[in-house]
Amino acid sequence: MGKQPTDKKNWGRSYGEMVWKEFAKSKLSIASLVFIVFLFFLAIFAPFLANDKPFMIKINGQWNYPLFRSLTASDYAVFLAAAFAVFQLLLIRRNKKYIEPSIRGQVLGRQVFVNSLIVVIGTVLFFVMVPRRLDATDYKEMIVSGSAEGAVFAPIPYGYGRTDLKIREQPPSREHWLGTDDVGSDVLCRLIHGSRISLSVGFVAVGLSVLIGVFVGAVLGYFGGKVDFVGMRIVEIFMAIPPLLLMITVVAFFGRGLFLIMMVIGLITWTSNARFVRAEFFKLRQQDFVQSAVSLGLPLRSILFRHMLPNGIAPVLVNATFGIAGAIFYEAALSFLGFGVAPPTPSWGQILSLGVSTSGRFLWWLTLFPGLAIFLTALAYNLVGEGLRDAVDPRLRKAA
Amino acid sequence: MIPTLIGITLMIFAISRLAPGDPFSLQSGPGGQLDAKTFGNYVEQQKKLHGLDKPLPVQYVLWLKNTAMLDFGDSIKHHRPVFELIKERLPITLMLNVIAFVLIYTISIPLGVLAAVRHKKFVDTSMSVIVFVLWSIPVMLAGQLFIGYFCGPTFKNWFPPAGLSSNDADTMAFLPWLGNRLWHLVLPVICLTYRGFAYLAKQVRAGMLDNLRADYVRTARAKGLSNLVVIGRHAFRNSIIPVITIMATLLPAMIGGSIIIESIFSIPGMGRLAFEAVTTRDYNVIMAVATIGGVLNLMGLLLADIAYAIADPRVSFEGKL
Repeated sequence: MGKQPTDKKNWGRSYGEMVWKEFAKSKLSIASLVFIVFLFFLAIFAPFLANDKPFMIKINGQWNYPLFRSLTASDYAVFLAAAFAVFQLLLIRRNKKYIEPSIRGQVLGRQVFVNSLIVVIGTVLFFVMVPRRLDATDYKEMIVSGSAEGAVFAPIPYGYGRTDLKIREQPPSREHWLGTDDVGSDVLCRLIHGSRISLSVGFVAVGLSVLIGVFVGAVLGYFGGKVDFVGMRIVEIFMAIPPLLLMITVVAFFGRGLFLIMMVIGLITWTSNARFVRAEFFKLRQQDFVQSAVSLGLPLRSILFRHMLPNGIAPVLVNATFGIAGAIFYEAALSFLGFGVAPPTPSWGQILSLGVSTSGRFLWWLTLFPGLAIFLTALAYNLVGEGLRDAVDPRLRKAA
Repeated sequence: MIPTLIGITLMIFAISRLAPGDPFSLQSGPGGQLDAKTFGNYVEQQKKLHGLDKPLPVQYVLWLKNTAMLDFGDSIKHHRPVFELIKERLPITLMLNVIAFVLIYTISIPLGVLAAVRHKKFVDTSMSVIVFVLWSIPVMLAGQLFIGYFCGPTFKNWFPPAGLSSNDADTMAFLPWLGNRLWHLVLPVICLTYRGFAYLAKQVRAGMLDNLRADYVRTARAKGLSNLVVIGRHAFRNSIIPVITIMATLLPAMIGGSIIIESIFSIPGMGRLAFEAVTTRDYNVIMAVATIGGVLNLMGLLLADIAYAIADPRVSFEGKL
């Protein structure tokens, strides 16, 4: 059964193209998407945008490049992931030209798998190989004292971990555009670096919850009966525990850490995805193409994930977009309650919690700006989710 | 229901007990004040006192046995029976949540219906925008802004920043006391309400729109029924069903959400109790809070099921899995 080469003109449009066309009709959705891309841009280039180390500086007549020297393993990992994300987007454009729509999904899946594998391996390598450098030199002091010259600083020349008790709790000013926090760190700088935490938590946690949800939901929906009964009781257990209580319990007992927070949020929020997939699979199970796949004797893996899943994944993807906003909320809430990533790593929720200081004073810039950051990010993701839902909803799409 | 409950408690039990560390080492502060031997003896003694020296499965079965008789054990931090603590705090959280819940439903259902009826008119579009914005505001931001702008010396001093009633509330007559209590409740209840309100209004609107487009509504209009009857008796009745199922998902979220709100407004409720228990590893309190939270949520699910059957006569639970 060789693939018949078909004329490119008769390819028609793939499902993804149709959804995208529908999605792009709404200007608001596109604007939100652009905003999210902008946020990712900020997060990826955070060390170049806000850093207390200069790009280049002349010390004793010799050029130094402290900023590049001080990049950590996680910085390199972020760059690698970003590069491969862009590469993947280019690949998708290329696929559209050269690969037939009927197998495009499979090709895309394989590309994503290979690329993410490379990113994961690269990340591990970076963490093993890039040494941890602690550069506590105060380059600005060197400029002032005249021992160095010709420094080129980042647009926001403050470090997120740099503290200065002389300038603590200052309202926004020309030097510190969004003010300073309780230990004298620049809020704008901490916000930019904090975007990494929020965005990555949103992505990884939701990715995990979709993976678990799809797997469990597919098995429950396909088999039904006793498997479904037992599985649904487990889903019920996860649904009946107040999520935030479970999260703070886990984080408080097993130590704070970004990885743990991502895992916990993912492990708690998978139930809604599982229920969506289960409901879709219940409907699909009786359809002819599934019956014929079964009667052909295809392996279960192929029936579930190659034949059924592509037809039932749309509501999950829509739900996942809303889930990202939810995960960002959860992370912010955990940080707000003091269970977030350990300082000095910045997180929006942690800055927000400083707004009402222990002395009872209200430091509005510490509440308003991180709060707005969370709000705008969540709003953008929710709007994208809304646009996606309208685009996916078959009742609204005109018959092609 | 019972297996689900056992599953919940088993999970929380496993998380809290399998983690390294214990409450007594935390309590006695960082090492150094006591020499290692005295310290070790103290921890052993305390463990024995609270029955934590037994094997974990035995501990769990014992806990289950006691809980079945509503004995949640003693709090390690407060040195009091957990049952007493819960008795003080549960009503506060329930009060907050019930008020918020009633408000959510009474405001958002009419508004959602109104928006659907006036589809694409001014009311509808402005409602959609407001709902979307409200849904995206984090509770922490709203709470902190309220406290900062309305309860502090910095801006307006309109509302009390913390607690449930003023210090002299005990001396008040009933009506001033009630007024005082309500005064304290305004901001927390707003914080607890607005997101649920936004979510529900959106769902009601969507459900109503679906039904208003349906054929049977056109038929009802065609046979000359008044607009009020068509909307109220035909479309509304059908679109209320998804709203009921949402009740089941809204309730756990609200109980979880009260952890944040209670810690922002310093309200001594279950959320605050849970928060303190988690930070001090007060095992019995954590277990009790999780159990009660689970029971409340399961009751919410059950209520939703019953209400579902009432709203939709086609639904029956006989012969289903």
